[in-house]
Amino acid sequence: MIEVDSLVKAFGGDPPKLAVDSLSFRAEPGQVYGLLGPNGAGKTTTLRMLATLLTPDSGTARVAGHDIRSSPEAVRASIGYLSGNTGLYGRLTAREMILYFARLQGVPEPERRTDRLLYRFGIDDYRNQRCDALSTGMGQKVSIARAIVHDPPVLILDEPTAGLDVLVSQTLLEFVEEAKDHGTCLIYSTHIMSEAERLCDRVGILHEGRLLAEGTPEELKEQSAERYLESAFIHFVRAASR
Amino acid sequence: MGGVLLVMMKEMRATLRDPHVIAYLAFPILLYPALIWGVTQFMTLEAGRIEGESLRVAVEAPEVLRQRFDEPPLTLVAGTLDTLDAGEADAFVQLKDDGVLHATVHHSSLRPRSTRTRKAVRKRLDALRDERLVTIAESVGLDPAAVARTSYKGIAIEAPAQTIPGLVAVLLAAMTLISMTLAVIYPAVHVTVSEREAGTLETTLVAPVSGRTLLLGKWAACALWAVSAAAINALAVLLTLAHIAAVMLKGALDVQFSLLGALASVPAVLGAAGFTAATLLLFMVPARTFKQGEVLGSLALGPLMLAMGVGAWGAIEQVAWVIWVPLAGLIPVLRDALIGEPSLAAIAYQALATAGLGALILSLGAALVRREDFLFGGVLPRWIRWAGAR
Repeated sequence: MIEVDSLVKAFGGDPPKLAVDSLSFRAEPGQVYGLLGPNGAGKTTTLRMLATLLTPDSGTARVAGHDIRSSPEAVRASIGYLSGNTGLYGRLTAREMILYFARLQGVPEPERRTDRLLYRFGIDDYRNQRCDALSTGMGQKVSIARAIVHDPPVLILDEPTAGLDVLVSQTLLEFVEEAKDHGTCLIYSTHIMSEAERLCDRVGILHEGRLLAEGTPEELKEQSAERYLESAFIHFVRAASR
Repeated sequence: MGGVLLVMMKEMRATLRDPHVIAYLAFPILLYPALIWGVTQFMTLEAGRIEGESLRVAVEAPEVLRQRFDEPPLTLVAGTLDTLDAGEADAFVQLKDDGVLHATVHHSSLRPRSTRTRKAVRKRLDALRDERLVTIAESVGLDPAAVARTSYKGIAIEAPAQTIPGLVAVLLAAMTLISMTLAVIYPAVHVTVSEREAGTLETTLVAPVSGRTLLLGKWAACALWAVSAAAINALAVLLTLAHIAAVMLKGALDVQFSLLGALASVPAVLGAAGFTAATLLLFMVPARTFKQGEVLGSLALGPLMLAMGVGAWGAIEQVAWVIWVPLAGLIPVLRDALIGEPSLAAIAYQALATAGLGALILSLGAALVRREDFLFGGVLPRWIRWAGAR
């Protein structure tokens, strides 16, 4: 469902800084692939390349069978994208916001789909409230509804719980589990190990743009001879820094 | 096309809920009439006060003549030059009649009321002379009409463009274009920088629509705001001018614009709206924050206002080549259209030139729309940050 093949991305400066360095991995439907890494590891850059927001310098990736270089619009039609700093249109109501994206995505019967999502996420009572007046929790629910309004086979979640309190994070984590059971392929970037341990079927540890290790959480713990995923993560990062 | 309309409607809806934009759109409707109402009220009060006041005049003349100075607005008072000095009279008139009236009017040039009295005395003397002429004409068997005052009609030798209607048309065109330009700043900041700042641009760019569609939708919303602002402003200016002509100048300002000419110039106005919207959107590319967007928007106003200035200068000074300068030439073109002398070739040229330049700018923007510097902003000149736009 997602095949990443030797992706490379560097940003300005002299010499340019490699944000992502020959990254390859694969994620299957009904699976959550976790990208773990400290700040500046290249997680967001990788996900932005998969979402076709950035163009890779070299390498490519296929998302839902579409190449990110040659078929970016088809890729965008197949993904739902949600990041921790994803915003809402403050001057639109919750319903208008979801409906707008439903129409942008070409969803058939967009009003019905929107109303269904409002009901599903328990935000029906707030449908006509402007987004800038919604609580953080309600806002995040609108963001999730916006991201999945076209029922995408692939979900890209970039630190989606950043800045959220425990209760709101819980809503999101439950949604990820539900989507996984539904057969969606998810890429989930985080630096919160408990989230990764709970959600991810496979994990890639990213540091300075390179993939240091990859496997199930259990495999990573075994490889590092550590008891916890957090300890395994520190083990791999320290080994790479030496 | 559906995508462009969808984005445009969303932008219109969101921008319409911005109090800044609404305030700006409503501004001319409220400001111009309010200003004129205030001025009219002041002038009416002042005129009423002047009409109501009696102008005191001391007259040294035969009694029959003297009594003729005791009719409104003049009031006859007893006294001589001393009375004027003491402020008890507003003028002192010495009048001798040896068949011809010889008048000497003493007044104070420092007292406005005294000046008004002098003018009223002058009118009264003219009336006395006219009465005498009529009496003389009748006594020798002439038709009194033979000694009536000469009828007068002035005809300006200037071209219509240089007359009052032409100048008013220049004013109307310039104000309309300026308001159009100013009106686009906030919408342009909203549809670009605000989205970037709020993180919504990222979510829009991962939707399966092309960058060109997004850009065109945002541009169309801005251009529509520009046209709306221009229409509202033109209406406000026209109503205000009509009020000035009817109430303040009591019909003395005879300005009539050609509706057909105004309609013929619509394509040129639309082209200018498109060009203005495209220019302001392009200026938003480097901005990262709302404040930076406002600063860059103000910077974009510089060349646009310069073009307007050149246009107004060319229109007033009758500089022929200005008509061929994109945007600037729109002012003389609109002026000619409004006074009923539209040049269809110039209108078509302005429409094509401004629309073409706008399309060129949009193409440049479309080439940038997927690039990191459009998505994330940046490359802002250091001095703009220094100017306080953090």
